[in-house]
Amino acid sequence: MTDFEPRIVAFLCNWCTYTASDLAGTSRIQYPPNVRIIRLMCSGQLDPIYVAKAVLEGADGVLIGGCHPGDCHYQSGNYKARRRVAIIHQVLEQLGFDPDRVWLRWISASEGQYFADTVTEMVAALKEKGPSPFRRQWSV
Amino acid sequence: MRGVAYVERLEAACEETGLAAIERAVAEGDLNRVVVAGCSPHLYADRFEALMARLNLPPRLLARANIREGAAWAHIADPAAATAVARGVLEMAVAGLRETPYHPFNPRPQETVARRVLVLGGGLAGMTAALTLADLGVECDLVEREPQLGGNLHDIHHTLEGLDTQTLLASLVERVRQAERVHVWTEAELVGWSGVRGNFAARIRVNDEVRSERYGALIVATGAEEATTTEYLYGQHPRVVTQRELERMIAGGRRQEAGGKMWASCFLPLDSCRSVVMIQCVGSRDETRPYCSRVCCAQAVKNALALKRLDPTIEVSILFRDVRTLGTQELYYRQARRAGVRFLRYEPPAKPVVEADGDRLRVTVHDTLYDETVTLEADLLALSTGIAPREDSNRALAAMVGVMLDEDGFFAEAHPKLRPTDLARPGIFLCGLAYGPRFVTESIAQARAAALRAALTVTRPGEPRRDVATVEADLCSFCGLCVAACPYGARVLDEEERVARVLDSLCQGCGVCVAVCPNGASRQPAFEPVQALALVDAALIE
Repeated sequence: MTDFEPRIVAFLCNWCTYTASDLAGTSRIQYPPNVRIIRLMCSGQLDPIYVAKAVLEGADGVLIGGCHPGDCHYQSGNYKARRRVAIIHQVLEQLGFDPDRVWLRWISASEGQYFADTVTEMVAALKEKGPSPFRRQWSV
Repeated sequence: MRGVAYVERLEAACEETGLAAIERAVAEGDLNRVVVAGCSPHLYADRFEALMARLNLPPRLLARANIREGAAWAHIADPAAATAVARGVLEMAVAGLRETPYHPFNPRPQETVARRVLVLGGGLAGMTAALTLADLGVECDLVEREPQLGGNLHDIHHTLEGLDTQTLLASLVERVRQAERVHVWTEAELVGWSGVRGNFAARIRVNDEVRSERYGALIVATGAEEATTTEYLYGQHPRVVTQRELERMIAGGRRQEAGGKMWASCFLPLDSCRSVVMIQCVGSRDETRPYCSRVCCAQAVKNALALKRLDPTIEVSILFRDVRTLGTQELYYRQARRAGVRFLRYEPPAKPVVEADGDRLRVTVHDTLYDETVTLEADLLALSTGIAPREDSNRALAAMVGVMLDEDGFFAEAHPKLRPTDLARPGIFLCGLAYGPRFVTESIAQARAAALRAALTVTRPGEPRRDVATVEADLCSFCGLCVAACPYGARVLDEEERVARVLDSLCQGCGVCVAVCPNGASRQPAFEPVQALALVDAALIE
């Protein structure tokens, strides 16, 4: 259990959280290498299928990053993401998947440190939880 | 990695030599997709787009694997981890690109731009804009509500700096009437407006007949008007006038003539006026009209100096709150003081009190500089009422063309510093008093700027945009979810064809419509769902 490295798929908004991840890199702010980033134009572009696919394929966690409420580059995309994630949480719970493995965070373009902290925090939390139950089941 | 036919290490892919190497490799190897592993996709996107254009490939077939900010730098302390992340990022980029279809769905026909501009309002700003457009080689229609061109300029006889605005007016009208590319419609009105930048459809009523026209851009130059008031016996006593009426009297006195519609007192012979009092900020800078009208201090100083030039023995007193003669106009304020114009400062709520004294007027004011109450006998009282927006017609026009008014009722620009002549909706521009109080010279400058912006809009070909959404008509079920989800109103339902349509010039490429579409009919070629799913797959490969 000690050498378990969680795998996180991150869906990040092009304008804020993706830029924050760039900023973390540019500023050499280190964070664990457990996250794979997929850039979306807007968190509102997130199709719940993407999260479902990641979960079913054994991701230990999914991180969704959008602009702070009221700051969406596209006016209201992050609110749509918020509602969608709320529903995703409910569905995952029904499937017996711990909804706390899917995080939605508002991280603006200037918050490189916050992005790195979020990833660090998420990796620690997932290490606590252990591997995704779906990973075990499906990798038999 | 599956699908990878060629790999080359470049010093700097974004530099001339690097781009040339990619171009060569693609041409020689007959390759159709490119992955650039390097810095963040936020950098040098334009260079790689230009590269793809040169290769005659759609730009979405070039993917960027961010292995610098996303891997090398983020894990600089742990080279092994950085390498692992970089490998993962590269695999994801290749996998995503493998799934990106070569043929775009539903290729859109090139938009044709109507090379014609509608200018609303035939005053100083509108005429200047129309002439500037004509000089730039752009056809325009100038629509004026009144029977004659000129608007407010008819009532301005000269500027404080001495510009003869009546000569300017005459020459403008003459040039507009003669310009081949300017078509003037007077007693006309815009009654319908739809469409998008480059392709607007307008309905214009001219003489009880409604014409339908197409335009590429719109310039709003509908002006404003002198505010009116019920304070200080205005409208009740014949010797109380507005600054503009005083200006007309002075001009009439100078030319021994008075033309146009004017109020009875405008015929008041100036030689019976031995003492003139002016009150500033009438109905302005209070709760109902909080803004400063910018021009009235200069207008009062202008009229005071004109009176003094007619007859230096006329006594002129200006009751002010704050004199704001802008910039070098301050010199004229000093000149007025030197000529003997008295400036007395009052401060609300202690406003001046005006009483009728038979045929004459008595003005009592508490001068805050002397701290004394002063009583002035006046033959004439001129009120600086300022400039008011044409609120009802502004509101109707704003609703029709889909733009906003500011809290004072003038048109609100898209950005006060960066886009001062644009309205928030693409392809609609603004100049003159419709934007707020301004001087003649400022109106001219802004009208030229707006004309230039409009000319750029209609003369540039519609730029191809890679990020807009499209609809695959065969899959669309006409449910309207995308219309409800779009924050920009860029989605409409085509009742005839029974499909949803995208208005390209309004679409900002956020992809919300793609996420809500239950049938997968909404598409964003640069961000296909199959691509995202392939990325998820690649991200989770052990």
